[in-house]
Amino acid sequence: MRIFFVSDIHGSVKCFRKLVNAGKFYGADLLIMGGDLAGKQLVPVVARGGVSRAHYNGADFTFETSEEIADFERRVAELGAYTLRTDPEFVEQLAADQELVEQTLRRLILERTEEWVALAAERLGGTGIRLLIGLGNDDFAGMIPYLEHGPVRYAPDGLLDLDGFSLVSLGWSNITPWHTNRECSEDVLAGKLAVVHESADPSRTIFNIHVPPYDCGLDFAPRLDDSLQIQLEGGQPDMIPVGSTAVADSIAAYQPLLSLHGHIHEGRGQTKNGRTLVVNPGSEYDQGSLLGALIEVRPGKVKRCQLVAG
Amino acid sequence: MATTHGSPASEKLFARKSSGLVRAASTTDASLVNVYVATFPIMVSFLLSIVLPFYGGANLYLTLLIGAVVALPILITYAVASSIMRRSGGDYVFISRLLHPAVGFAANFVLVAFQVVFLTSAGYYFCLWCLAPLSRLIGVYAGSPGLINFANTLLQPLSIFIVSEIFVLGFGALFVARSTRSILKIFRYTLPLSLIGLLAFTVGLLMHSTGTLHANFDHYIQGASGVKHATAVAAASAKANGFSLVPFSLAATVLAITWPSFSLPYYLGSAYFAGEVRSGRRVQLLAGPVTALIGVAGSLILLALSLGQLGSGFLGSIAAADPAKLGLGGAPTYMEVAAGSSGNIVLGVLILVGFGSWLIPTVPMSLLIMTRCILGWSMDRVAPDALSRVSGRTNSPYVAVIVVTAVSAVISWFWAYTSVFTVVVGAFGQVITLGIGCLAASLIPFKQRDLYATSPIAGYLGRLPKLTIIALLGVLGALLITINFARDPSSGVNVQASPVMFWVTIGMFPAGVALYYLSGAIRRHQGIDLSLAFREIPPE
Repeated sequence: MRIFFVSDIHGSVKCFRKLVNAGKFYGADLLIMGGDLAGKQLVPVVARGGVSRAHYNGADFTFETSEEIADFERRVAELGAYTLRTDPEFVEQLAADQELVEQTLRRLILERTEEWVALAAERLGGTGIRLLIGLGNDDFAGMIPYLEHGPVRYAPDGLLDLDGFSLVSLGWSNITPWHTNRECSEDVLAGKLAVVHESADPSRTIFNIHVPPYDCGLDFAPRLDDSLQIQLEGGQPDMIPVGSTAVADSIAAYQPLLSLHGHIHEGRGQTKNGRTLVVNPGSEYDQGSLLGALIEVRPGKVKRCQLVAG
Repeated sequence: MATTHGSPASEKLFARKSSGLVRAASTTDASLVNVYVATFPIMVSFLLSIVLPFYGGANLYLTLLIGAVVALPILITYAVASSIMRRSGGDYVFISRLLHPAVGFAANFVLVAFQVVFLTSAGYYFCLWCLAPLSRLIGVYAGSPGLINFANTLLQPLSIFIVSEIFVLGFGALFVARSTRSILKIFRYTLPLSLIGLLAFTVGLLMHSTGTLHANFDHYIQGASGVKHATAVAAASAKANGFSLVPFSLAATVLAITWPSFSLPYYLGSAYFAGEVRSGRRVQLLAGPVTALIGVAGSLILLALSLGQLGSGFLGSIAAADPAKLGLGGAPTYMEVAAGSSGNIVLGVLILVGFGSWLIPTVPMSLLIMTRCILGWSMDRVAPDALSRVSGRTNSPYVAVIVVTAVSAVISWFWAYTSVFTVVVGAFGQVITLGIGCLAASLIPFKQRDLYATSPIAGYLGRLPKLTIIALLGVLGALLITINFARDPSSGVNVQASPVMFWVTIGMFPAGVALYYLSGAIRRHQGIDLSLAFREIPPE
């Protein structure tokens, strides 16, 4: 089985389209999206006094025509953010109400997810290529109904039979400084991972767990202070392990054939934990670059694993 | 669509509670440490010991400023490019993606190869510029002939080799045994020492008149070697060697920019670690150029203090004189001159220890830059997989560190026993890489339209994107510096004086390309298509 695994595309239209095309491009018969489909940022395009304005990526943009706005919206969507044509009053409401920001973004995320899945179903239909989509800690349960369409399937938390392999998925993370939708304590994570023991044969088991194992070299992220500011050491970001100890323990105890992770965008790489090949393809969604891992597996063996930047 | 940057934002950007959205690190913090890593007092030492005596008519201030103007577009280009296309490995990524993977690898291969020259220079200069003068200074003040003799012993090739190996192998072992962050913590202790040294240097020079400083220096040399009236002896020897203060020469001033240019790659430290900064665009945009400006300002101050208080004739004479006439094994640096001229052992020790501390970050930073580039190659399967093997205990890329350390240990021998290398040799190949990087960056607005159009630097001057204009100026700057290196007889890569080193450096680029294709052939044999690591999936 030839798998193309990616994670953390965070709303990037360009990355999702690349993902859909990746099967043919790499000759993969299974595409796995390891979670964090949802984007993070809402960019209001505010009409005022005959012109529209927006603020994105540290710069202010001014538009005089609807074509200019459409062009901006397309570019911003390619890199993962969501635009909203609105008025100053609604912007004031957003500024005063974080819940409104969340609701607005969720609506836009669902719209984009629906469009994506429809596109994937159309393009992958009849090709024999399947797309499995799991959730990550930045996603939310409301997305699940949108993830089933033809060759596109939701990878639920738990076990899934996959052509003679067992796929163990878990779209939750340990506690982060952002207190996101789908995170929990290490104890709770360990409980959720207990399902692993239902899987009979480690040599035919593949983990698809959003958060990487703790201190495996693929979970290093900048240390932050209470205000979420990156801390430096010797002039460079001070990188510390932030993965999950429960996931690390589970891999060490169960030794699946392959363990696929995302979550830590900087943690691109592959490493071995005993018999298990542990992979985090990383993420550069905000550059429209689809980082992934091209993996060929057969029972008891990972024939090859190549990190690619598509 | 019009873009402005820095104006008050009338509209806001809103975010969910989602992981990864962080506040960028402080630009000041990043810049200050980068200034330290760029070691501007070392560069001033080259200006005073090489340019002042041997580039007749060169105006040191102007040399520094011209060098900065030529280098600034390179720094801005790298800052912008690494902000737009972030990932560990710096220019390796954007050259590979924008020009060709073989070019990206070759350019980065050259950069890594010549970082070895920088890395191994630290132990050499630490011995010459810190340990030996320190031993001499303490020996003079303590009246210890043993320490004075030991200073001379430290100047012997074997001593230099041993100190260099301790530097290289010591830091290599630390990197294997400890985590990267624990190595970088060394800066917490050495940076204050360096700053205290600069303060002592300033106080030492300002507390005396020029006449007293010269008299103190005479006294110091007499104590060190028994030679009386060192100032007059140095002046006579320098005159015999052809040194004199000549009128301003623009040609000599421009030729001398070779020397301030050597530290250019270090001002780009933040670019090479850019991949680890998330939402750190402001830091990346500013850290390189701000670092350079601080470095230039610091250099100007050091030059003004040295030339103003000690005098250009005095410093030029000491640098041009035959050291044997002063009874020394080598010409003293401006820091040793200041230490001796201060007439105070405490100030003198602080000056020399501080000066030595400026050399220390060169080793860990070079090791970091090299090992992270090698990790990038290995991850893309261009280099052997073993090179990305990481220690489970320290998370150190121990195989890459061991390889780099082993090569450096060999190169250290050349520093000690031959005159093959100068620090400019290390910079020559790297500046060509920077030029290729700028060329690649000039294509970002055309090949990465979405990224460019939504970046803070988006915009056009006429029909040309601003980034393209700046990047092409960077190409021009790198070209000027490269030509300057090749025509400067003192650079060590002069096409007539050092043809072997010149052609070896130039030849490293085709060698890098050949290595890329060789690696591709080996990987193909293993069933891996190397080009997949770089080839973009059609998004439509």
